[in-house]
Amino acid sequence: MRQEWPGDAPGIAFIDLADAGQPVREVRLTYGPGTDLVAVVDNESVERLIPALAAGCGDYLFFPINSDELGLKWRKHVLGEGGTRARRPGGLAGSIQLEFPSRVGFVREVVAEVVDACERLAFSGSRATLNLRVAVGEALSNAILYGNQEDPRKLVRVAAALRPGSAEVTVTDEGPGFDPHAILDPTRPENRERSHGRGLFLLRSLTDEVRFNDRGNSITLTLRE
Amino acid sequence: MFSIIEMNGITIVEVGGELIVGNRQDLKDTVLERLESGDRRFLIDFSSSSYIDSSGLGVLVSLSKKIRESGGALRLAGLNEDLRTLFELTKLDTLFQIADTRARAIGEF
Repeated sequence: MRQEWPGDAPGIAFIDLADAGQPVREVRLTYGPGTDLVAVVDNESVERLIPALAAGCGDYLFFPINSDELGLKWRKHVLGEGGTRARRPGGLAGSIQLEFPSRVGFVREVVAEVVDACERLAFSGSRATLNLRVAVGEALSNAILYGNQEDPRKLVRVAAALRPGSAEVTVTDEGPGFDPHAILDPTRPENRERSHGRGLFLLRSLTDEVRFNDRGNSITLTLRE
Repeated sequence: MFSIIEMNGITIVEVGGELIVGNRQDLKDTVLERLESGDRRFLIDFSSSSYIDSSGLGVLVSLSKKIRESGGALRLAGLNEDLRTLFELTKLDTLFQIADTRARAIGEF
């Protein structure tokens, strides 16, 4: 049962994502918009983080909680110091903005959010469920594994614009960037037994357009219906 | 995500769901463990799997090499249309022995 919060709503509320009995949307309604919701996640519940950010959590902490980080969240959300580290999707209709820490466990959920939005707003069918799915997954994997070297303190930023018939997704990491021309063709016989180097190739094969920024740490892929 | 069955001296690994960057290490560890304990004939069955990414493909390539170097064999079965497309795009269909069904793959060992 949803209960109204008596008196002034708190500035910050922590939600343990391991506890499935605390749906984020309910907590959001209980406290109202004045409360910043911070999700607490562990390895088991990590797949619930992206949906939780989509449902109204503005930030997150990893369990076990370290007191410095807790202090940081407190100052940020209660005292209003520091910048935003996690942003929920939303804003303009047809756009997704997400930031998440560089852990491969997030890839599945983020891809699902983007493909789902594409099916609702841009196009459906195998262009969404195969082409976009693989391409976005590869862009995220590259950003996490190679760009940010799996350092969870570094963030991956996803911005997607979905209009009828077209999806444009930009994935940015905090790494030094790379030279996309330096990638070997994985389909050549001498490269076929290499265990790496297929991501960018698949991404290019499955999209209509791929662009990099000059630094090489941000990729924009476009798919049309 | 991965379950193992033994049949006629063949180690069958069933991939449920997806083989992607987030779980590829589990598959690698599972197969290498069995390789170390003496298994030599491996069949990875994708009948219950809908999706694989380049990290997953990379793990299959590296497992195939390791199994071959140990004198064993790796076969794949049950790829759906999307998975086949990805193997064909990357030309990995030429590197792996791929059968339509598990039964056919077992018969080919």
